[in-house]
Amino acid sequence: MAKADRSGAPARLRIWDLPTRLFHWTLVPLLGFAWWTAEERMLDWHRLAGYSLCAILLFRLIWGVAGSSTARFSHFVGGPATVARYVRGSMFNRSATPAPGHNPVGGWSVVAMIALLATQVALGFFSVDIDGMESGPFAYLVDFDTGRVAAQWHGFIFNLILALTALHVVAILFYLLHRRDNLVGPMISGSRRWTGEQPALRFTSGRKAIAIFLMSAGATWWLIEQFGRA
Amino acid sequence: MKLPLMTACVAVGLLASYAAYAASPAVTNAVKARQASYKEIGGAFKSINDELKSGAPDMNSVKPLARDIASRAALLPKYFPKGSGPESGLKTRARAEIWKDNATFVKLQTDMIAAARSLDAAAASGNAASLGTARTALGGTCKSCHDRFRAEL
Repeated sequence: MAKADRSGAPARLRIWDLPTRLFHWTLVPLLGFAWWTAEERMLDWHRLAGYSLCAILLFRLIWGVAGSSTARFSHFVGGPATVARYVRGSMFNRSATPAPGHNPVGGWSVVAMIALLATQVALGFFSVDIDGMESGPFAYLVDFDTGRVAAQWHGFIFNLILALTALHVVAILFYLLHRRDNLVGPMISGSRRWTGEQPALRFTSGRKAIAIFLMSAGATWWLIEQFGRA
Repeated sequence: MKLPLMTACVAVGLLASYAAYAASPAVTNAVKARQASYKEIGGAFKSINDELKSGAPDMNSVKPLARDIASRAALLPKYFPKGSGPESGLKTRARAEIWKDNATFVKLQTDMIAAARSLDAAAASGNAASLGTARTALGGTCKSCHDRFRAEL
């Protein structure tokens, strides 16, 4: 993006593939559902929400190394120098060329969100409620006190997830209001307005995505069915 | 003569205020005992639930656990003396409603003790299906009392 050819006619650039968008928009209601079922103590449904999250997170992790360019961790996870350059040079600069995909700061928030969600699912697997009545599928492997500690961390990590979600929304509003750049549209349609030279992005076939998703869902099911007690 | 008298007054005053501030040993012991009991009951109940979830509960490990829950449950009523609520200044999630609406609390506690006895009987019978029914009933009594009388953190 060093050469931003501003003379070119505005065109559209495809940045997000369908699997990545589906992952994103499945995550939103699933998180809400997990929250609600926990509040209402519908633990059967809450466990199901956790298993579903486990499956799509596994998919996203694999898609992050085997998927389309913009979905790959190697594409959007940069070192401190990259982040600093972005913050100083582009982030607050309305005329800066937008990032084709996650920008260096947003990339790290994606990593943080995936890490928090994965930790949350893992803690849920071992959590026990205070009555010793409800528990995650692998809580039988740990004693009551350990299961209680896992449940307490499960509650704490959820607050971090809420905080990061709020930050995510604030960042999107910042881009919309300050940079006049709507990031929600592309996450729905898959493409954004693009002026100038188009970066070369590669997209992985949907068939491969389906295969990886089936593998992830199957692995989750097998793990819980084979080794879990739910 | 004045100095010893004043000293005595101050000493008595200090003692009185300390006594008013600090929970009596009886109250402290009751809070400690009930917390230890509930923790023990929770742990034993978890282990029974783990067995039930395996599909084929090992009755030999369930039996002593159910017996433990029943005997600890029976002792619980004496661990809730007046003054052992939040006003004790101790770390407790027992709500003041326990003593305000004591009739309801005692009723729920009696239900729990009865359910714990049924669980013990079901474990002794060795029937997994009746053990499952008894554990759901006991779990329900945990929840009904906790919803009302245990403070959320």
